[in-house]
Amino acid sequence: MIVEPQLNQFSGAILSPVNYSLNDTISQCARFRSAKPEIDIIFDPQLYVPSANRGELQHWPHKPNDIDTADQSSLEWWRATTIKIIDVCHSFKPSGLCSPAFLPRTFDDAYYNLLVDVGDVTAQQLKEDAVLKDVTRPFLTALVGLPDLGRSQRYLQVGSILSRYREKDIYLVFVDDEKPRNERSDSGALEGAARLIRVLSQAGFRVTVGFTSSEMVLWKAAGAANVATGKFFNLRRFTRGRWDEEESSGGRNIPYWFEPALLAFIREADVRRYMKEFQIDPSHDANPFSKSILEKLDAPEQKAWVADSWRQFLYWFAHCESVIGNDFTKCSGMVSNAADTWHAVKGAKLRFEEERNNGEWIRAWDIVLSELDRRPD
Amino acid sequence: MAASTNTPEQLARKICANQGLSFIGEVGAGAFKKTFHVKRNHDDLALKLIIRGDDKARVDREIAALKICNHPNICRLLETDSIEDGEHSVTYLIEEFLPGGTLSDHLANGCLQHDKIVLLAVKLTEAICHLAQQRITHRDIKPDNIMFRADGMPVLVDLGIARHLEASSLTKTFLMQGPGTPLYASPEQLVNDKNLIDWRSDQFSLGVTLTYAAMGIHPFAENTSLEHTVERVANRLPATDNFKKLAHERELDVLVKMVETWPVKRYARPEMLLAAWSDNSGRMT
Repeated sequence: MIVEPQLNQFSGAILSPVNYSLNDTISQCARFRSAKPEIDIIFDPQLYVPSANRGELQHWPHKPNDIDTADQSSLEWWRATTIKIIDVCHSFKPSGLCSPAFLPRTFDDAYYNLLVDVGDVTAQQLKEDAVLKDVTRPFLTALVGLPDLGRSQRYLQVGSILSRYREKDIYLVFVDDEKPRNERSDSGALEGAARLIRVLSQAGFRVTVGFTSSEMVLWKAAGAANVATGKFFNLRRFTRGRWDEEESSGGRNIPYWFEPALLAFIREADVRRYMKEFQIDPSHDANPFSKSILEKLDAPEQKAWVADSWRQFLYWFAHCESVIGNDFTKCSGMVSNAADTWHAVKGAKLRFEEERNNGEWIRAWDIVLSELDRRPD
Repeated sequence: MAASTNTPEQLARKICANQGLSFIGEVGAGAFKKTFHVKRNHDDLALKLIIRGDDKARVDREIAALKICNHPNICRLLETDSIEDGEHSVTYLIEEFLPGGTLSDHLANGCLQHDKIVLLAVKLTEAICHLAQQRITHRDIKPDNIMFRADGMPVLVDLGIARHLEASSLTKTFLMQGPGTPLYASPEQLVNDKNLIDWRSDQFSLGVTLTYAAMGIHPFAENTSLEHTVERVANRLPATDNFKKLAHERELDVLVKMVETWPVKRYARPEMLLAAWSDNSGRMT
């Protein structure tokens, strides 16, 4: 999708071996590079959850045979695994490689330390690899427990460990149990996460936050260099249950309209009701997929628009990221604007189809940005 | 442990006789070792005798650390061996002789000028860079462990509690090493948070040392109580406003970042710290 002309604002893609075979990935990379030579292709080896059904990953040569039984606290085991991962990368030469990581039971300091050790090992092996040393840059994969970051100064402890990493790029993924379609609204945890991004960025790291949705405005405000999303909801949120979600379709079938004025995903009936009383966000004028959806909604015969809905969000995401950059005022303005719109929606007694769509997360996001602005780390 | 048969000086003289060295005299003593000035032909050397044989691990660590270091601002180990003393074997090290005394000696005459601070900072940061490349943390940087060659070049000494990051952890904290040392230690060392101890702990200690050398104060001292100061560091309370003001006035802002209480807020890499000192002479950009 990201090489489609209307979605070409994405600067790169994070490839997953779960959804595509090695051969598919090789051809995918060739296609990406042919359409967009400067594209940044990052490979995430995705060894997160040993017991889950990992789709195509089962057939990739880098998947260790003993992944379900190995002692994953052993650096030696990871050292052997990264050798296999680097070998498999020879066939498609990604521009970035995420260090492998697993999902722990508890996000304690020992876990974060091991992540950094594995990251350093991966980076060292890449530097010594004759094929990839000048082609592929290393990323430290850091799965970080989001609820844990709500604890006082926890972000400084985690940041102090992660910043021991010797290279520049950190691939940060926040893990929680919030359902993918529910917006994150724990202001304490979100503030800790934003502060973690900020201290790492200020320490000179280039932070790429993976699995994000519209809350990316918080991460960009905090200084994230890049944010990544996906077409399905389970690619916009990293939960322990995301693989189960994938099996039960991961939000593939229900079309959602993304309304930037609300920073919310709303259903078809909501769009119709909303448009009767409110102006949709002006950014829709430039979004070709919003136009396409509106045409379909206006058509006398019902037309499916789920594929448009993925693209509508992706288009907004890429454009929004390029417009806001790391401009705190713009990010903050976007959230304030959403807060005002929600206030008006509530004033008009307008209700949306899904109970979760009440705008309460906007208050939490507003608090996060206000705290970031008001109080240094 | 049975008593030694010989005094340290007698042992030093025996070693000199065995090694063809000339004994000159004692130059220093610490909790763990005695140091003697000796000569081989015309070369001045330091003979360090380990007098506390019960801390063999500490000695082994110092030797291991020194062996893999090769840097002009880290004390050069020339030889190491042991000598029998009754039922015991006493380890000794022969190192370069550093006639310029310690930084503590220099500070007895007052604080150092800005240019000397910057030179000291650059050279010692280079030493820390070298240690960090070897994945070694010194963990005891303080004025007593900074000595000078005859030409005034500073040299980092006493890697006794240095920790190779890939080696197994020490069982003792530096707090047990002797009085005075905690004053230069980072918060992560004071609370023995092993997950956070790395070269940035040395950066903190160097920052405190340089502050003391430049201003005669500890960055966290609110009063004259050493315990209170150490407690403030251990609790990660902020450095004092007075320190920050003086650092700024003296164009030594780099120190403020060096003594941040969380490692993530200090300079992330040794080369960044070195660049901060080299490029801006202590001013932060």
